[in-house]
Amino acid sequence: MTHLSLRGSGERFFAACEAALGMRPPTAPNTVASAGGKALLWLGPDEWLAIGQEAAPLREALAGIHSSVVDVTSSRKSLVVSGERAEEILSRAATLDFCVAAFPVDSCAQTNVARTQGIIWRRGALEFVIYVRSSFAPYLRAWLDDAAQV
Amino acid sequence: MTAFRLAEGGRIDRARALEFSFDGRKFQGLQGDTLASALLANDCFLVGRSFKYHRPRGVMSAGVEETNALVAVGEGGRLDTNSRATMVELYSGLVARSLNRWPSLGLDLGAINGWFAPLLVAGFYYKTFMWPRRLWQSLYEPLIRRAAGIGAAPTQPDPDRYDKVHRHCDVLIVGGGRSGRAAASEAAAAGKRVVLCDEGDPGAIAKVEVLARTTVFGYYDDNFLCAVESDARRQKRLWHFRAKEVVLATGAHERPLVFGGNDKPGVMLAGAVETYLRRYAVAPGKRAVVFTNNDSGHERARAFREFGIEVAAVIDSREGTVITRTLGGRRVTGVEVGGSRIACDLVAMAGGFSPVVHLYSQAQGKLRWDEKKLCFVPDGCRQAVRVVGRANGEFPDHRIAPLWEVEEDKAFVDFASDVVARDVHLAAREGFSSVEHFKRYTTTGMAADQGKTSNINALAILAGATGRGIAETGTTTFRAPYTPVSYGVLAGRDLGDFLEPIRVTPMHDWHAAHGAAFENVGQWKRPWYYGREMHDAVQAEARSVRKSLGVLDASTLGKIDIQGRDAARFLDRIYTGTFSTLAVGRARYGLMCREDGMVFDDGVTARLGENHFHMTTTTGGAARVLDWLEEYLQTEWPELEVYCASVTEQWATIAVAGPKAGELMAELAPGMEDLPFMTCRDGRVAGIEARVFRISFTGELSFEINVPSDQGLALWQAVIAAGARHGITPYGTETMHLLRAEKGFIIVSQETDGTVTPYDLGLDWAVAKNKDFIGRRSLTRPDTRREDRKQLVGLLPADPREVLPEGAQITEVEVALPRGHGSKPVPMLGHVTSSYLSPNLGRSFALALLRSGRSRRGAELYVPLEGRAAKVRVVEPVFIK
Repeated sequence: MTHLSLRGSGERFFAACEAALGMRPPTAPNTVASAGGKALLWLGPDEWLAIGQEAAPLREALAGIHSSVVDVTSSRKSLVVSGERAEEILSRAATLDFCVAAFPVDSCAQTNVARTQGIIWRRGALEFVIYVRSSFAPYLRAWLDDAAQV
Repeated sequence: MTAFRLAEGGRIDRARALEFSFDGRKFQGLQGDTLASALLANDCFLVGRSFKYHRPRGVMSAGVEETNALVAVGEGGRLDTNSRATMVELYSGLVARSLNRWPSLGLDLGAINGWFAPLLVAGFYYKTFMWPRRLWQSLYEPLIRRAAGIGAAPTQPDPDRYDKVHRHCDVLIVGGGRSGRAAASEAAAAGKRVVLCDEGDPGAIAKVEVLARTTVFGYYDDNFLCAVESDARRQKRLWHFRAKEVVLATGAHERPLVFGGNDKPGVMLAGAVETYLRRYAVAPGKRAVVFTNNDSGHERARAFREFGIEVAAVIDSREGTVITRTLGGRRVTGVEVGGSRIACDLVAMAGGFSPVVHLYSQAQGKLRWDEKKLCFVPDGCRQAVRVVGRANGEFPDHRIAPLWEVEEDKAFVDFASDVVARDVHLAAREGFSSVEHFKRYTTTGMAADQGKTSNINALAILAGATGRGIAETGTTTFRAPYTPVSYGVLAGRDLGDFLEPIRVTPMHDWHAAHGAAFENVGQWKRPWYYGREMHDAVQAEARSVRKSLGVLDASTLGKIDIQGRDAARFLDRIYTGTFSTLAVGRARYGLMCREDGMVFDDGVTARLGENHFHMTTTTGGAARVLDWLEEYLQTEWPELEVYCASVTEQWATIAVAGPKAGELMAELAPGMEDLPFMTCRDGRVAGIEARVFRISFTGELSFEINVPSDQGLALWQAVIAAGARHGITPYGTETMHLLRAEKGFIIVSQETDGTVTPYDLGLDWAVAKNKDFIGRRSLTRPDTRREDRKQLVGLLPADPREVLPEGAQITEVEVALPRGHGSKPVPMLGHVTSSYLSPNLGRSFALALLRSGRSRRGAELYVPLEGRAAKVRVVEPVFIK
């Protein structure tokens, strides 16, 4: 699954993205636009993480528009936390409120996870995925395993 | 059944006897007991010695306010010191020990302190500072340390793992008494997310998350509260609450009365006596005297009689009678009332009630003195908090009349800190009339007590002594924690391997399997050298790179993708050198300064396209350089159209270096071997999509091959396989440092420390003269151009086997490191920044920052060492041309 760091702003940018990706980058903070295995995670007012998207057509569509598309597919690993106790495990690793009312499906957040940082995306009522920098993945995996044993 | 256990009643399970030991003696209690109730049931009244005077002490309360019955529970790494016996649930096999006794509880030699009591008055600790100074080390400190202090820390590691949880809720309720439960039910009925914490077990409440055995110990800003949850044996979990609203239903603590010998075993709070009777079916005495200043004492007396305790007298100060002092040694045997004596084995104190306002006060809530109920009550807080029930002063009017002290010797105010009423008067006479000064001077309300039982009595006596009212005197600020918290709980699971995250490269497992010793570089584990023994490994690795071929995992290098119409202009401002003139496909070394002109980071940056750059930074500087770039883009130059993205982890970087590097590249990536120096090209290496830099940090022919990090291991293995016929040698950071030092290449934060300019390093060539950049103005200051600044030089020790310690000082005179005091100061000219033994030079060498270094070339100086000085010659900082 490709990961692209997508930066840009302005209506031309959004229109070009929509044309190339088939979805518009969400502008509501900490939300995810997702369909058919592809997703756009809001990371900042002019920053998204595009998952499962092709870089070349996007770059082509954005030619001449102030923007950047950087392939970061190898930058992060994904850890999936799922099941009845998923919220409980996350509430040990991060300070956010993960109850479904406060953090609904297709919410995301960049936050501290254990003693590193990650992007957390709620993909389902009982499923979260954490994108963590590859070098921290063994650490975070072991930490979450430990927390899950409580 | 023991003599003091009642035949019936209590919330205890008489069918389940529990064995436990206290100070080595075996006892039996019942399921449902606390350690305190079980000890009382066994007629074990002497449970500790006091902090300063080592006076015999017994159980005074039945709750968290206990300040006498502090015990150490558990053994080995699970030892919990300073536990309140009243809060320790009994379990089978519990092992507890009393504190502050030596050699034993019954015979305590420390009680000798009691004879010297006049010396241990208020502020005794501070007063020792004013006596002859030489006595402090030899006499006072050992004496005080021996005599005072509570408990001993465990000496073994704690084998338990503690948990830490963050919980958000609409309403957090502290206290599971009647008011707390009512508030919880009401909030839950309104559809709110409710959590209720209680120190005991308040039972289930519909639609409320109830946390039993959970003490909320800290109340901070923005309704952030911390609590610690225990199981029957130990603290086990830390809770971090973020609540929209907080309800404090923390109840009220009964106050002791202040009279002579009010601290003896057998003198207890009246409410606690009733609790032992009702809840634990334990009678803490057979013949009681109740001492009171309000109606509640009479109610208690009635209750005691119901349970078969003989009440010899109710001494009510409102009727003009008081207990002046108690009789007995290790157990109360009677009281003195107006010259006559009454025999008893239990004195019950009913001194009125103090709402538990600790958390409210921590939350910056204001308190008001209630003249009628004689207590501080909540009076407004800017946080979203409500106080309900007894904590809000909502208890019946007991028609209390002030009785703050019966003037008598050994009338204790703070039992935990051994502060007596006379100490309060002394402090007032000595001018400590401010309540905050008074507290620190006398230690009243500090440590174990945290003002629970002592505060009001102490304040009232201070108020009387200084001729002010209590409201005017005020109260000290309550601070977290409300009760002691184990360090282990605060640490949670961030211990051992989790203390700090460990970052590893994609090739880490290969390095480990091939005998790498690892060096910590920030959070990264980098191969340091390969082999058992560092010296031999480094010499072999360094020789191999110069003679044939070496390979280094350089994946940790910081990498930042920079693009946008203004990217080149942006880099011109960030770097001291010019990047706008760089041709596409070429790379250049760049230095960054902070605004003060001091070197901040460095690295090679390549131009991938007209508006697209690939920047590299130091390993340790990657994150702060990106922050630096973002800060300037967002706050100083928002008009620049530039986007930066961290690609440090996108790329694994493998450096191949040595005379055979070209041959290797010809094999793995035909055509790449001819890349000109300081260029960059995208292509395939060993079939993997790669970005290759023809640059060198070793001075040898060198290629840095970047591939997507999930291909890093594959490329590494391909390089190792293809390099085999050249005797390819993996090398670590130590060899890398040695090789670059031979060429005089600096490492930021090794040769620099935030006070070093590019000129100091002799890097004038990397500083453009005709453009502006961050730090330029500072570099034009006369001070940054002084010729007597510390400058980078090379050092050659006179003894070619002498490897100077990094950080060693440099002097003009031959002098050894000073030993002890009184040595004559010697001007220090600078220090060694890097030092190695080079197999290529056949000798040792070093880099150093040296005052007026460049003008000292050829000079002979000294490096002071243990017992001698090493002679060194100053040379140019390039050892292999």
